[in-house]
Amino acid sequence: MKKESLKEEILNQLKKFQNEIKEVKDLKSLDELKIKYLGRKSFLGEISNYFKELTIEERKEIGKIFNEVKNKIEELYQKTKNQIEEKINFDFYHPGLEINFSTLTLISSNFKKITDIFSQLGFLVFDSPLIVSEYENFDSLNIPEYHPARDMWDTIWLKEPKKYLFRTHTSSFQVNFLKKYRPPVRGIVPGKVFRFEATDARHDFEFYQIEGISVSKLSNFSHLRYIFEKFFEKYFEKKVELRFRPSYFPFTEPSIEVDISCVICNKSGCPVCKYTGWLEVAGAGMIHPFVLKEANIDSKQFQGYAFGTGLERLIMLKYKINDIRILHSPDLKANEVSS
Amino acid sequence: MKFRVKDLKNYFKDKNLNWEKVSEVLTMKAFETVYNDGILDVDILPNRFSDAGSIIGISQEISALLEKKLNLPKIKIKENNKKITNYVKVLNKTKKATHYFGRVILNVKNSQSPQWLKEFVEFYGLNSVNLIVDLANFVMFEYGAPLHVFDLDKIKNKKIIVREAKPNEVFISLDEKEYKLKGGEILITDEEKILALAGIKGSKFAEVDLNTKNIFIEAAVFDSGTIYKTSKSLNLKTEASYRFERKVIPQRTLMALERISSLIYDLAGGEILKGKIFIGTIEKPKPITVDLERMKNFLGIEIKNEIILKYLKNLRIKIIKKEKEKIVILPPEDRIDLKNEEDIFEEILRFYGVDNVLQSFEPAYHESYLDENIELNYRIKNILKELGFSEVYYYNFINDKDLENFKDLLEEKNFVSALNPISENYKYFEFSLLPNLLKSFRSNQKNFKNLKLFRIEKIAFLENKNIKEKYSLCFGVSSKDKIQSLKEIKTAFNYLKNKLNIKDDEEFIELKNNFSSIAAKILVDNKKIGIIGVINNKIKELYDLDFEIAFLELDLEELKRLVNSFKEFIYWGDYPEIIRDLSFFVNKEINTKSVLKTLIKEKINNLKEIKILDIYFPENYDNKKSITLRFVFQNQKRTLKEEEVDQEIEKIVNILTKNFKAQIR
Repeated sequence: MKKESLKEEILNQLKKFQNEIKEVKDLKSLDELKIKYLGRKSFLGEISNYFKELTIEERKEIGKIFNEVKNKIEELYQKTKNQIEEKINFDFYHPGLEINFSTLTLISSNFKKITDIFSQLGFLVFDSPLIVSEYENFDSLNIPEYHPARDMWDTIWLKEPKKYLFRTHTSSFQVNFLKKYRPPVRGIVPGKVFRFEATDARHDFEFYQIEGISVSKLSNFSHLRYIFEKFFEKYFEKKVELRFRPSYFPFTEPSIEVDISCVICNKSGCPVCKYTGWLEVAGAGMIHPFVLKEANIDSKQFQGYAFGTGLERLIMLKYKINDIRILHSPDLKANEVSS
Repeated sequence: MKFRVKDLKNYFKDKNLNWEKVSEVLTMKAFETVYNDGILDVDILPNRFSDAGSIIGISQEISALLEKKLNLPKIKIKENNKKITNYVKVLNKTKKATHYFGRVILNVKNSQSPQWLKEFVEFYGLNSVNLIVDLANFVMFEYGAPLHVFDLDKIKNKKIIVREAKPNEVFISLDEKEYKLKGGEILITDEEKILALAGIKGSKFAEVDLNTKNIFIEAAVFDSGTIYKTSKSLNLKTEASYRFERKVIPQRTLMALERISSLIYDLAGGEILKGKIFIGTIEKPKPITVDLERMKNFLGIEIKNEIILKYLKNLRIKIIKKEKEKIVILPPEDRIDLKNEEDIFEEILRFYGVDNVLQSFEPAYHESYLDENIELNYRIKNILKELGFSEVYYYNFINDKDLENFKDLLEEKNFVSALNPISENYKYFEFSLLPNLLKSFRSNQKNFKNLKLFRIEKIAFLENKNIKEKYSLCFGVSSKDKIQSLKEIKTAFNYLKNKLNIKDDEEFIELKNNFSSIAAKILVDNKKIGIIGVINNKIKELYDLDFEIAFLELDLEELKRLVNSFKEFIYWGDYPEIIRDLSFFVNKEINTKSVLKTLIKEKINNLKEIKILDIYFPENYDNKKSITLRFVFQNQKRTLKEEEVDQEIEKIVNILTKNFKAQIR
């Protein structure tokens, strides 16, 4: 072969290689292609056979071209090899691996949320006993024995000691609280309470209450209104309207019932608010002089408000859960929306 | 209480009241009310039932709130000149009958009730009996004062004795049910028979029937507490008992007596005898001093004094003295709930509108504080969550089966039981969270594998008859293999300790109990802080558990003392560590902790740390266990040489062989 046609053929080999490598999809055919062009039996592999017919000058020239082509092939081979090796098939809609998500109960996470909000509003947060005396739960709160007011709280009593019970409301800590932390003071007492009550979608024999107390020379309904406005707004993470109505509790005077605008339907009417647009969420009032006296506080000098709300009720409204027993279920599925 | 608007209408001069509006105003200023289809459903508050729980009572409230004039019944009594005292004698032997009034009407002509009266009593929830009985009920709903009419001719010697029951006396009611009395109940009797269980129910003995000619009308007030107690213990609730429990106003009772007498006279004829039985004194309302300045601060409202005075007038409250901001007032006779200054504040606030109070900000008086138990609970919950544990809710009560199987956990203490448990499943308060944690595993084992669950709750027990409550933490791991589950629970324990910055110096003392394959109590400074173990096959079966469950229960009161909020930093050092692991066999009875303690006491140069890497029980050596320890050597000033460490290891080997007959592997 003449020099020119030899040169042409070498360059032609490169072109053919460049074309064929485009079709290569796997390492095996890539290696086969390399052998086809650079292997011992290939045209380029046997190139020295053609050198006999060439002058030394020509050999130098062809040799140079040959080396350039060979390097280009090697280079292209390596580049394609890397591309093939890096190639991964993955669908990003793959679900990932199965694990158990660890969760806290909705009661736990919301309990925390609520204590955080009240801390921000300047309330101390206290723990208090679940088992209390009849005096703490009733008498100290102006709920005498043989009084129909006691019917408001169906009670689970202890076998012994006598006259002890599972507290029916967190108000049972009011007098102890005020004896311990003298005014001016502002605090909440969150915790579990117990009722001798049949269970249904709205009621259970255990549930959580949050009791709030503020006693100072000033604390009054306008301050309570501020606290409620802020609390509900922060808890539900949206603006809610507030409505105060007169009510009766033996341990507050005046007593009120607190409604919020329905967080489910925004007052347009739904079964949850019974088409009234309002939801009853708390009871409150100015602490009765009887209670202040029990705590050795001069009711002409100090005054204050107290309120109580149910944790489960708030959770059910916020997360749109229609049965309190879901919150009291040991099933981990009940934790799913808890953060 | 439900009212028919067609009844209420008769008590107002204005015949065109807007009842929708009435209902709205009542809701916002008195009682939650729903108006529907001619019926006003008013949720009268318990302290107001005595004055407002009647047709006249609620009308009075509406009249005051909407400034509408009342149209009250005009009562005229035409007495004849026969003296009542010649026809009936009443002897009151108990203070529990605070007021006893009565009238006698002779020669009445009883009959069936007219249609309007039948419909009336039926709407208010009673059966129509006859004209006289129905009229008594009519007046009860009208004035809120229960009345009782007796057939005078059936009363022995026409002598009524009001007295307290003796223990075990038996009362037979109108519907011929027998009630055994405890003693102390109030009875209306004659010399032979019990005529009525006062304030609750009558008997057959002096019942008014269609043949009755001469009647004695009882209008009385009985002690509210006694009626409440009696009604509750006999489980006998009536319209009358409901009212007496909530206190009946003597003035209203007296009015009701006159009202029924005139109604019977008009509808059943007869002769009303001259005079009436009048036992008891009617107390005048006591004056209350009201500080209007204090009121404004107490309620958080701005209100003009003239408005306050208008509200008071509407409420029929008399002002008997006025000095600048201080007034002395007299409540109306039928508002026995108005006793102190704050009660008057409430009335003003209601009329002002409690919903009209504007919000204002009161600064805090102290820095914030979170109860340390609650704070620790939050910390632990987050740590366990980090570690893949989930919290579960369970009720705080356990049943007989739980008590039987886990009573070892009580140790010397006693459990707390409910006198009236909500059900067989919830009889005792938890003294350990473990039984109910196991039930939570059962609830979840179908849906989740390798469960890691925990609970933090209060437990309670009796210690020398005193109640002791404290927080407990119980967590568990499920696995196919007992050893595996124990290893996992140990991992979690170590992690928790580390995150709570608790020092590593607990001891495990193995113990036997009814529910574990193997268990140990955990001691720190010789104080028990908890129990660790894995449940045995019997419990697995009894609680329907599909997996092995290792558990750890910690006394958070004890743990709290060991917790630190942070640890001081220790620099890792400039020179490399040399690590040597040493495995050896010792007799399985040897306490691993004592091996460590012995080594720590010895002077071993440059030893920075000893860690237990592994402990296992080889199958071929019955009485041996294998311990692998890791020794970390480091010098703070220079790089250690291997030979130096070799020497120390030799020292360690000698100590182990000498003290524990260890065979180095």
